[in-house]
Amino acid sequence: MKKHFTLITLLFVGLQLFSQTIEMSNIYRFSPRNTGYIYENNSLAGYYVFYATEKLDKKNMAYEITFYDNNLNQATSYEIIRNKKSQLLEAVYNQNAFMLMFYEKDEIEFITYDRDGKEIGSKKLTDISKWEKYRISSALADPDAENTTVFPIGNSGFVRQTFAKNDKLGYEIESYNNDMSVNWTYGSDTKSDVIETADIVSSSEKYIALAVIKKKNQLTRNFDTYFILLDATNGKELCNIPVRDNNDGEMSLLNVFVDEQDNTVLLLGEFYKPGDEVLKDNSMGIYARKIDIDGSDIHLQKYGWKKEIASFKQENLSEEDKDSDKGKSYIWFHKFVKSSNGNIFAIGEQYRKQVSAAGVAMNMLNRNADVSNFEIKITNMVVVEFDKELNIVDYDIVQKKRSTALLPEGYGLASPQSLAYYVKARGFFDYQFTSAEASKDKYQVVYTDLDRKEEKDSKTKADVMIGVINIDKGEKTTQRIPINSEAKRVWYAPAKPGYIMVGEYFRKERKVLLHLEKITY
Amino acid sequence: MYLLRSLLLIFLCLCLFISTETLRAQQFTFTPSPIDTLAPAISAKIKKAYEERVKNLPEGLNGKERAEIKEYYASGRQMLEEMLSSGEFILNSDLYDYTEGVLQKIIAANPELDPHMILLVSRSPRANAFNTGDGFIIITTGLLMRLENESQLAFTLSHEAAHQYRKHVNISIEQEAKAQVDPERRRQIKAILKKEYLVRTNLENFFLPGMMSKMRFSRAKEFEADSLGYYFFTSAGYDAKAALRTLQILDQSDREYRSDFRIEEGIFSLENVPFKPEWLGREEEASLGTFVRKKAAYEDSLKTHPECPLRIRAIEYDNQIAFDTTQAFPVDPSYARYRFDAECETIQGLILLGNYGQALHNCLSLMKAYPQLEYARQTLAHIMSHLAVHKKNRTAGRYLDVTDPDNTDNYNATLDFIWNLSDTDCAAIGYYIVHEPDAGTYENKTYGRYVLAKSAYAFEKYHEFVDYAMKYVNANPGTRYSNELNNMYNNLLKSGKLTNQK
Repeated sequence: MKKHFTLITLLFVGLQLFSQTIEMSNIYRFSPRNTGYIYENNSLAGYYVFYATEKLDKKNMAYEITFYDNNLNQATSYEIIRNKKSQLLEAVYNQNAFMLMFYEKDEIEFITYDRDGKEIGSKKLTDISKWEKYRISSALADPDAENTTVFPIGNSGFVRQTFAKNDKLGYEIESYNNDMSVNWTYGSDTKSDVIETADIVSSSEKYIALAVIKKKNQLTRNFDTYFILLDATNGKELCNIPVRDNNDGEMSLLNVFVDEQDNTVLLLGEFYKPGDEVLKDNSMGIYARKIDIDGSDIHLQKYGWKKEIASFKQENLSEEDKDSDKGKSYIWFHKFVKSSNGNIFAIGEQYRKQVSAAGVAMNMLNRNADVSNFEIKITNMVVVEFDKELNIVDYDIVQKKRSTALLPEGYGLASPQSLAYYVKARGFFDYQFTSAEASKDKYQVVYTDLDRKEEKDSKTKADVMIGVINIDKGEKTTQRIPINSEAKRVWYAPAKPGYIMVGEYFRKERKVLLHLEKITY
Repeated sequence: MYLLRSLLLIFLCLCLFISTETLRAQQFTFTPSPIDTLAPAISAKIKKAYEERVKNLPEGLNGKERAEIKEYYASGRQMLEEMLSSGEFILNSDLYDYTEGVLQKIIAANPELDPHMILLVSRSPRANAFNTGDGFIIITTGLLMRLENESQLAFTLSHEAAHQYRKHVNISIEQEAKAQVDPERRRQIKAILKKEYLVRTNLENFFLPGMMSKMRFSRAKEFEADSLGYYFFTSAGYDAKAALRTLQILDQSDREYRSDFRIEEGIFSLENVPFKPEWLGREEEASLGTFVRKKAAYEDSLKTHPECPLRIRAIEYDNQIAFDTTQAFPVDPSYARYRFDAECETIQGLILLGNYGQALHNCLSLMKAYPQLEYARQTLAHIMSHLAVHKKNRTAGRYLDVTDPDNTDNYNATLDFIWNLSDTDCAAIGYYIVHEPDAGTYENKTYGRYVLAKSAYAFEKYHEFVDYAMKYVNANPGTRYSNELNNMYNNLLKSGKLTNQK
């Protein structure tokens, strides 16, 4: 390659020098761990690639981080010198600053850079909890795993979720300014006698929304879910409410939608009959609960599988799909989209637990096989549309080819609902991502369809088939899009609204090509 | 009286403008030059030039140096062969004959020049010319379309002939080859590579002074080629001041060819494909924003060529001439034809390179200037047919630029337009642009027939495709386009789509 460059400059004496084009070639290994996405207001704003350039001395290594905008144009790039064992866990951008989260030798360090690559702040955490270490090591062990714990708050700072070192496992939410000075912290009670964990489910300049789980010990299936809303500017608790229905049974919290325009929050999940448990029993249906910013109830609406949802029968469904709809299957809700007409679309995926023929066969042939006799079957996409008053106006099953997720040994005893968390964490669901273009009221939900036939009864199969659920100004349409390539390996990834990024690996040329493709017209 | 004179002047200017435009529209037609027919002859010349070069290796070299130089020569030959086989060169056309004629005039006026120098015209969109050191001079259509007269072309070719005359390429290769096999240098590189730390920094420090010195030498060679080229081309009787304007054109070659062209509805008002206003919708700017590009401290020192203003000053100083930058530089009517041909061929080059975004932008710009030009409509259909297939397969991103803050806004507007088109939009536009009012206009023309076949295929009118393709293949057997149509036909048979369609 080096010689080739020299050759070009030597062989031809021309009249003018042109800028050189750089091609990503001579790539022997491609590690997703060193690449990532930069999101802003739920839209993909760009990508980053982090790589080592040289060893500086016994301890330190020079790295380069390059940021690309959402058109794949190189935005900026700068050198970072760190310990050779340093690993980049996350990169977040908030219009004014990039925050990089590094991990090395049981220490976490956050460094913020301005747009010119000048360091503007840092914070090192040396005393981190064993839970945090466990989470990081799990993320590092799986190159495809996402480790998302830091989010931008407007353009002035960041918020992070971590574990507190209380008597029992607890959580902590920390807000930082762009210079990494701590703005505020919020966390579980240090004297709490229960285990408390939190996930940041939504963050903006105004609000931070948390889903909190409380349980007595790690092994129990009994837990309580709480929803907490914080003021993003000062960390003040605006509301802290249990998700369960006091008059009825348990409720799961599957997704949250904070509406900043009318200062309300919509909680969505499944409800259970009194005495039933979320991780053990079949749900009765789904619910939508609208609350005020202070947590006071505005409206609660429940929709039973057998009654309300069954009324949306679809004539074109197969018998198996109809069975799926009668309660044999569960739904994992991936995303909620609110259209400008006020309607809300809940995007889910059906799944069920079943005996695995492959698992049984493997266990019969090899007693040491590390697989369960059960598997999770992942079936169709589900789109539930609610109107402004939270009435279900449409319940649509979008058919796709079924896939199965083999479970590890011992997982067969777990309930389907708890197994869904495993399936989700391992990325076995076919749902991939949702692109939002809120200003144009356009959303695209993208999933993989393993039925690669380009058309019904077609002889030709696409290399990859993706399914897209378009929600354009409140109107829902679906389409299947084939992706074809001559490359050895082809994959796709999130991109700016309306697009996907297609990656192609050409083994012979040792070349990776990344390009954008429009998915909707 | 003054008002009357002014009105008369405006009227005359208008008449001149209108008549020039009308003339342009009526005067020129274009058909891409046939591809491949002369390729074997050129290939033989490339082979011969390589063998001559190897036979005449410089004296006093040791075995390793000779082997290294031969390797460089072989790589040079391979690059030329690859350019030839890719269809990049225009081998027989009026444009080629004319350009070659200018080189011959220069050779005839300067007996010291090698009479066997071979000219090749590349369909590259980049404004460039270069000498390969083995007698080949290559000039791009991207440059030819920007020049304004024969004198400017003559200066360009004379500059390259001067490189050949002074053996600049061979000297550089010899120096580099010697350095590559120098045992001391190799030992030093090995020592750096063996180090555990700072390998990249040490390699950079090791190579950078040499590179800078090499580039300094390269820039000195450019001044020498300018000076000698100036002598050659003035000896052939060309206008001396053209040298200065040529360098100015090169300096400005990254500007848009027609800065006033912007995509608009007009061209796409087809009866069968109603224009959709959303096609002209603009993409939101990338939310990461624009960043200032960082420049390495030594970047200027690694340029192979001096800045054009410096070169202009050097010629002015050496030859006691002055460049009047306020002067207008109209295109010489006798050169206009070749400039036009070069513009048309450049679009073919862009299609060949697979840069459909730039190809379409250039094609639409040409179409705006020559609204009645058949070639522009055919080429638009050609590009749209490619885009339709790639968009359907979701591979268009490989061949289409994405909007970039470094692009002109006009080009970004064209790119947004192309991205907004669906595969079916592209197929329909490509088909109807050559079928409205009817396809008869194009049917009896070589390129037209090929394009009709391509557009019918993309629009999934497979039987129509077969008709046109057969006519083309029978009339032009063995050419690149014939092979392409044959492959398309075979794929169609395999897919069963042809038999399914009544």
